[in-house]
Amino acid sequence: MLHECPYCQQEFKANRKDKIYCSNSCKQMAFIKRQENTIGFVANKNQNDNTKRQVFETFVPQKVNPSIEKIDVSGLKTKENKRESLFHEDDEENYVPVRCKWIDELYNKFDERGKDSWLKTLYGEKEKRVEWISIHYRCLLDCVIRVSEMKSVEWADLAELTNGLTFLITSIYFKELPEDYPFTKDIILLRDKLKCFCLETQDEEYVQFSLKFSTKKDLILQRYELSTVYSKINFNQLQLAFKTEINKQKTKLKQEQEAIQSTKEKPWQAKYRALKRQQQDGKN
Amino acid sequence: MKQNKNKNHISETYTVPTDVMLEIAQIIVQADLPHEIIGVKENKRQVVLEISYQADLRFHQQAIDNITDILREYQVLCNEDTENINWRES
Repeated sequence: MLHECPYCQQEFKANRKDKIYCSNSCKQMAFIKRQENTIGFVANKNQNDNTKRQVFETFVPQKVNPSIEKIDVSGLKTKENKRESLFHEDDEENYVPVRCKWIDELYNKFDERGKDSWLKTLYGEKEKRVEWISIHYRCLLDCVIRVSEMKSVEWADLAELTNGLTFLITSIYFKELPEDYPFTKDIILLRDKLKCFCLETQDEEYVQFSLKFSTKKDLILQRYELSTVYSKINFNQLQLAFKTEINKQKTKLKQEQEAIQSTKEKPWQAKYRALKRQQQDGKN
Repeated sequence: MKQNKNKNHISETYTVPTDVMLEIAQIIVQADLPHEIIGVKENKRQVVLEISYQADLRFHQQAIDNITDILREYQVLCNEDTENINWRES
């Protein structure tokens, strides 16, 4: 139940019905205040009685009132409620929350980028390519960050991630990305770093892969930016998408080759045409 | 976050990523909250902490709110809404 403390006027949760004050310090302070009032009353009552007043003045010094206000009540408190009273007065109102600096920094960076707003830019026809690259890059970022947090990782897994990034870079969509796409360089840089690491550790089955905190922060920011716009897929889905994309690209290449071949003259056709020309020239 | 209530003393379990461990430790020390490390998730770089506090102390309550705020912000930023251990499926 909620009670109002008659001394500090603040509401508090009371365990008992008859609890009046919120803390022992308030109880003590209220008692001191009551004493102060009583002393004042005695002094007024004895104003006309000089002898009594003299006794009173010698017994209670005149500076009694200000000194009562300054009484240090901490000494009166038991060990149990000492901490309670310490926090109950000024500290609780002056609590300064601790902020995570790097999280604030990332949010600020995100807001700064938001001003230029590459996300709001309409890519038009290129939107599909941007979306495809962004979704897949987001997934790879997720995996890289996740893997970097693991105690050790299979080398093959890391190589798979590197291959995923390489495939992303060599895809047709990547080549046709708009110039102002903000992650083009980041994707290449991440792939290169991973590739270097894989080449250095290729003899080991398990490797300890961790990111520098500055790099991790960058990757977290990129992932966060992408997550505000694009949906999430997991690595298994990504592999499926890659396979279908490879098949698509293969069939496209085949079709192109066929088209080229069909337009190209075969050798016997060239010979036949040359002979015909010679015959025509002979007649003329 | 698990809760164990005993009158006004409450103990809660928090999973803290090492990225924000410094800030959480700062809050705990500042507010003088009784705490204990009860586990470590090595593959996720997380520490499991049990923190006790008095519900009727506003200062403790504010410190706990501060901790949960930081953890929530980190969760939003890092999209850590999954408990899946396999990175291929998460």
